[in-house]
Amino acid sequence: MENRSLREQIAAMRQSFLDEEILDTQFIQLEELSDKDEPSIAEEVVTLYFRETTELLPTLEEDMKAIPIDFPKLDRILHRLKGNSASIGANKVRNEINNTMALLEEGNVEGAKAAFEQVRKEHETLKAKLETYFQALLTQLRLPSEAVALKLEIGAGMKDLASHQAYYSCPMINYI
Amino acid sequence: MATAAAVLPSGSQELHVLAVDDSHVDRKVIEKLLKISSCKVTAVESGTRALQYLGLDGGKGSLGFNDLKVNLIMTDYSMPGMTGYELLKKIKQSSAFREIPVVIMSSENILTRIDRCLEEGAEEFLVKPVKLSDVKRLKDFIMRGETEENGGSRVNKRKLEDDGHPPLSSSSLSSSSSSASAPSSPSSPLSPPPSTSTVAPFACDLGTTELPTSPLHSSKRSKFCNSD
Repeated sequence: MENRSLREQIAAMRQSFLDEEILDTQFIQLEELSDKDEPSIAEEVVTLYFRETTELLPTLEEDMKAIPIDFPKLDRILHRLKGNSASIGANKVRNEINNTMALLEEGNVEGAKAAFEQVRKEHETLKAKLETYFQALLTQLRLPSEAVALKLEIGAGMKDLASHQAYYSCPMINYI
Repeated sequence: MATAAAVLPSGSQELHVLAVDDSHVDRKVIEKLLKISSCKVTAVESGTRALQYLGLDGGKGSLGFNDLKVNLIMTDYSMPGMTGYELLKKIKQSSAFREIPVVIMSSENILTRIDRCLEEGAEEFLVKPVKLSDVKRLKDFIMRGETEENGGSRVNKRKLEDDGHPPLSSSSLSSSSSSASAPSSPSSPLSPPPSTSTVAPFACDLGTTELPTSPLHSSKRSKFCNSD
């Protein structure tokens, strides 16, 4: 494990995301959108996601404590959160949102609050893991010998390697 | 798709798509999917902005001064303020823009919602997250629509079913937005509503400088015939 190249570690990370169902194939589709015009688009989209969701979550938490609860408003915000999560392939986050919405629909507010805690947990976990992942990608691409290998690695699943070269050049990963 | 790219003689003939979505994440993704498919994209965040862009809000809009005629509108269904459905209705009520195909995107696969949109004139209802294959298929469909309008029976037979309509039930279409293909025929995506005239409903207004009529169509026809 120790002597594994960074490239292998990245591939292992990606695979574990899928195996653990933290992310689904939509994330892979996102990565496959990279091309020479927008080499780090996956990271950019993910950054947008966390920027938006990091704002939404505290609002949701407040709204769930409100008396009386504005159910339609909660539903709208949760729906939006769910949609965005689906767009980046955030599988577990999305599932927990579904649970929360179902419980709210039943009128089980306490249950929904507990489910929402799970949403926050999964969201935090995902954020941490993706930060590590994109950081590794960045580091990896700064190693000249590895850069070519990485292109091949990510490109293995793509039909047209020539037009979808995945080389990341985005300097900073900042989800805040 | 290579076929569609070969058909367009120059960059100015690219499809121009107006994408409407309140989610920044989704806007970025759909924009990229369209760019990868060689389409020009204008992405806006609301139905109101979309109408402003088209000039349907009473203002001049951004069209008309250059060659950025809109060939397709893709809109999210659930948006604050004006929903995608309401936007669809406004566009179909407009004599200037009703011929522009409108596609609704939604993360929810609700049959009544799908039916309502298709009845109101939407060309298709895509379930999110939208895939590259959805966009490529859509683009191909729009391009084909223009060819059909001009004696499409001579077009590559593979693309046409017996009834002269595009092969909506073919496997390539049912694989994407699989939930949308589940509904019965009145709401099957891409099928022209019964009330349509002989002109294909999805045909874009081709009376523009950007898309010349006969020269482009005859070249497109022959290219379709010669390809695969």
